[in-house]
Amino acid sequence: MRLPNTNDAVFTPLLRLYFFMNYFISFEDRLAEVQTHFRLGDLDLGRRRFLDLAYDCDNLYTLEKAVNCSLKHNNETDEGKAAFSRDALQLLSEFHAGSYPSQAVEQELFRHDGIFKSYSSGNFSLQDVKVSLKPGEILGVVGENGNGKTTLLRCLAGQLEADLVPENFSYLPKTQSFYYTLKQFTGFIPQRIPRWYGKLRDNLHFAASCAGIYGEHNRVQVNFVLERFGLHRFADLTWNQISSGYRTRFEIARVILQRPRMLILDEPLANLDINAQQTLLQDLRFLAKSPSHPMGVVLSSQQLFEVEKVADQVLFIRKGKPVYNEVSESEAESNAVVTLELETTADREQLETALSDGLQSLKYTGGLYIIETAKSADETLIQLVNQKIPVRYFRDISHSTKRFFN
Amino acid sequence: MKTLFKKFDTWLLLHHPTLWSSRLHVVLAIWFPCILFLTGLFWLLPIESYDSDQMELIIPWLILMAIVGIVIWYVFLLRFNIFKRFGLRPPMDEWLNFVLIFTGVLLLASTTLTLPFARYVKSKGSISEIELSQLITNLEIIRGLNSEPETTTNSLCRDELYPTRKEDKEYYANRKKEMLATCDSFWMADSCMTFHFTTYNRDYNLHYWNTPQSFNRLLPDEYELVKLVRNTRQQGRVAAMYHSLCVAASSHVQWPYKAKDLMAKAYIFQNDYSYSNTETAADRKLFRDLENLKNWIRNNQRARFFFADNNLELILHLLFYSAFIITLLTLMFRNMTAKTFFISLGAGALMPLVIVVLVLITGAYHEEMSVFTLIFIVYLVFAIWALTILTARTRNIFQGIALNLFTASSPFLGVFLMAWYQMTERARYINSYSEKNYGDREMQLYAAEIVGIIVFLILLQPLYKTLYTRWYSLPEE
Repeated sequence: MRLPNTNDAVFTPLLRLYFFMNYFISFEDRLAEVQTHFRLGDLDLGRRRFLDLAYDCDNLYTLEKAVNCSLKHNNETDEGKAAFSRDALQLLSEFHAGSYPSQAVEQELFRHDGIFKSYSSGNFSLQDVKVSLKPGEILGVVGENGNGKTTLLRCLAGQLEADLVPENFSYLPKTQSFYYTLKQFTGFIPQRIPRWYGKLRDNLHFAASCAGIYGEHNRVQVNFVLERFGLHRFADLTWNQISSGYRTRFEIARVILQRPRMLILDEPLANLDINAQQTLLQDLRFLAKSPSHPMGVVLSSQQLFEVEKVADQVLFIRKGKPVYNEVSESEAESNAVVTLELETTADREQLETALSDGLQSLKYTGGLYIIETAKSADETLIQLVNQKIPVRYFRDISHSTKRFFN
Repeated sequence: MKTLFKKFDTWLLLHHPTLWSSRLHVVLAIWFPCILFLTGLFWLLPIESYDSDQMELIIPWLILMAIVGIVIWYVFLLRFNIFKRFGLRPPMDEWLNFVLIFTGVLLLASTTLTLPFARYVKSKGSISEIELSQLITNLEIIRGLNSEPETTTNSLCRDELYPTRKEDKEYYANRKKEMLATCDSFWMADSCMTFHFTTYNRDYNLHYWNTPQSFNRLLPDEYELVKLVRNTRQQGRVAAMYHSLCVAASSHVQWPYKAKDLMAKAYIFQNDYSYSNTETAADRKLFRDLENLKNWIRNNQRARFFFADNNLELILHLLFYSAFIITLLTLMFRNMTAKTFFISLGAGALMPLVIVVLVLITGAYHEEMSVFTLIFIVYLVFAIWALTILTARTRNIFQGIALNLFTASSPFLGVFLMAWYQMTERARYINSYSEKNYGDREMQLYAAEIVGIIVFLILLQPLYKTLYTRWYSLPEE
C-alpha cells in the first residue's frame, strides 16, 4: 500500500496523479503530459520532463536534440522561455516511441525478510528489518540520529556485511563476484560525499566511460545529466568551486550515468535548501519511475514530510528495530484517532475550549501542539476557524512517521 | 596544438578511460620534449668544459627532477581511479594499466640519463674508440712522469674499453704488444697485467685490467713477447709518447688556441726539452695544460664508456626495477584502501626483522638451506592467506596485507628459487663445484629473474587482479 501524500502546493494536480499510480505511463501519455506542462507555462518542470521523455526514448539522436534544444535557450528571459517552449513543442512532435517500453517491469528488485547487523563493539545492532522494493518505488528510511539508518543503507549497498545473498536481488546477473556486481548495479551516495578532483564534466565523462558508455553516447548522456540536473554552468568547475548542494546533485548525476537498478542515498537533503529539496525529491521520483530505466530508490532523511511526499514506503527505525514500515488501508481506516500538528499563538486553555468536541489529548512540544482527536482534520480546522483561533501551521500527521518522534 | 591535444584528451576520455586516467599522454606531451630539450642542452655544452666530478653533480639534480616529475604525475594519476569504480571492466585492463604506469615511470626516470646520453653521442662523434684509448694510455704514462720521484701506480680499467669490433681487437692486441716491448718488466695476475717502467727519474707501474675472457684470448702471444722484451730499456720513449698525445688530441680539443698552443709546446718539448732532475716553470706550465687535456680525455672516456657492457647492465637494472617497483606499489595502492596499503608498507619493512626472529627462534641459522626454507614457508603462508580472499565474506585488513606482500614478493620468486637451487647444488657437489661455473650460475640467475617477472605478469590479470577486485568489493565487517 502506498502512503497517502500530504497536500502541497508545489505539486501540480497532474503530477500528484503520478504518485498514486503505477510508475509505468505509456509514451503517448508522457508526451501529452509534457505538452501540458509547456501549455500551462510550467517551463522548469516541463523542461525536466521533456528531457526525461527524450531519455526514456533511448534514442541517441532524440536525446541530443532535446539537450541541445534545452541548452539553446536562455530561460531567464520571457523571450527565451517562449522560444524554448515553442521549439520543445515542435521537437516533441518529432519524438518517436523508439525503445520506449510497452509495459512495466513488475518483478521485485530486492527482498529481505530480516536484515540483522551487529558490530563487534556491541553498542548497536540492527534487528530484523524487512525490506522489499519494486522498480519505481521509493523507500524512505527515517529515524532519530544513531538509530541505524546509515547502517541499514550501507548493508543494502553491500558496504557492510549483513548476510545478503544473490537471491535477495532479482536484478543482479549471476557472476562469480556477487559483491562486485552488487556495487556495479547499485548506486550508493553517502551523506559525506567523497571528494573528487578535476572538472565536474571530466568526472561525469569518466564515470560514464567506466560504466561502459563510450564515444558519442558518453558525450550526449553527460550533456543530458548536466542539463537535467542544472549543472551545465558548473561543468567546468572543480570541487572547491561548487556548493555542497550542487555536489549532491553532481553525485546523483554521476550515479545515474551508471544506470543503477537500485539507488541508495544517505541524507541527500542535508545540504540542500528547501527549493532544492523539493526539486531533488521530485527528480528522484521521476528518475525512479522512468519506464525505460526504472530503479528502486532507498533514501534516508530527517526531513520527514518531504520524504513522505515522495516515498512509497516509509521505514521508521528506532534503536535498530523497525517500528513502522507501512500501514495497511484497513488499519488506516479503522484508526479512529486523528493526530494533528498545530502552531498557534492561542494558549492551551483556548485550544482545549475550541477543540473540546472530540479532543482526546493535547500536548505541547515547545513549538507545536500535538492534538489527538476523534474529529477529522477538516472538521478540526473548521472548529479552530470558528473559534477564531489563529492558525500559523496545521498538519495532519495521522499517517506520518512524525508521530513516532513525539 | 593545445586545441588538438585537448581534442585528443577528450577522445581518450570518451573512448579509453584506462588510458585517459593514466595521464600518460600528458606525461608524454610534456616530459618527452623536456627530455629532448635537456639532451640537446647537454649536447651543446663543451665536453671539456667541466671535469667528471662536475658531471656527477648534475646527475643528482636530474634524479631530483625525475622524482618531482613522478610526484606531479601521481597527483593527477591518482585523481581518477578506474579500479574503484565497480564499472564494466575491459578484459585486460590491469595489464594495460601496468604497462602504462611502467612506461610513464620509465620515461620520467630516464631523465637522469639525458646528460650521460648527450655526452655519449657527442663523444662518439668526436673521437674514435682507438684514438681515445691511445690518448688514455699515453696520458696514464705521462701522469706517472708528473708524480713525485717514487714508485707510482696507475691503473687502466680495461673492462670499460672492451673491444667489440675486429679492428679494435687488433688494435688492443698491438697496443699491448707495444707496451710489452717498451716496459722494463712485466708480470701477470688473474685478471691484471702490470707493466713496470723505469724512466729518467722515477719508476712506475701500469696496470692493465682485463676481463678474464679477453686476457685468456690474448695471453699466448703476449707471453711469448714478454720473454723477448723483458728487461729492455728504451730511453727517450717518453718524449715521443707525449708528442703523439698532443698531436692526437689537438684535432679533437675544441679550443683552437689551446690545441695550437699544445702543438707548439709539444714541438719544443720534443726538440728542446732536456732531461734534468730539476723541474722548471716551463715544466709546470706544461703539466697544467696537460691537466686540462687530461680532463677532456677523461670526460670523453667516461662519456664514451658510460653505457659499456657492465655499466649498461647496471643502468638497465636500476631503471627497470625502480619503474617496476613503483608500478607494483601503484597497482596495490589503486586496488586497496589507503589504510591497508600503508600498513602493508610497514609490514613489508618489518618483514626482514620478522624473518630474522624466526631464524633465531627455529635455529635455522645453523644452515643456509634452512633459512631459504623458512623464507619460502613465510611466502607460502602469505600466498595461502591471500587466496582465502576467494572464500571470504568480509573485507579483512590482514588478508589485504597478506595479498600485498604476496603480490610484492611474487616477481622475485624466480630468482629466489634459483638461488635456493644453486645453494642446494653447491652443497651437494661441494668438492667439484668450481669457479668456472660462475658464468653459468650468473646466467641461470638472469634467466630466473626474467622468468619470475614474466610469470608474474602472466598471472597479473587472472590471479592478482581477481584477488584485489574481490577483496576491495567485499563488505566490511
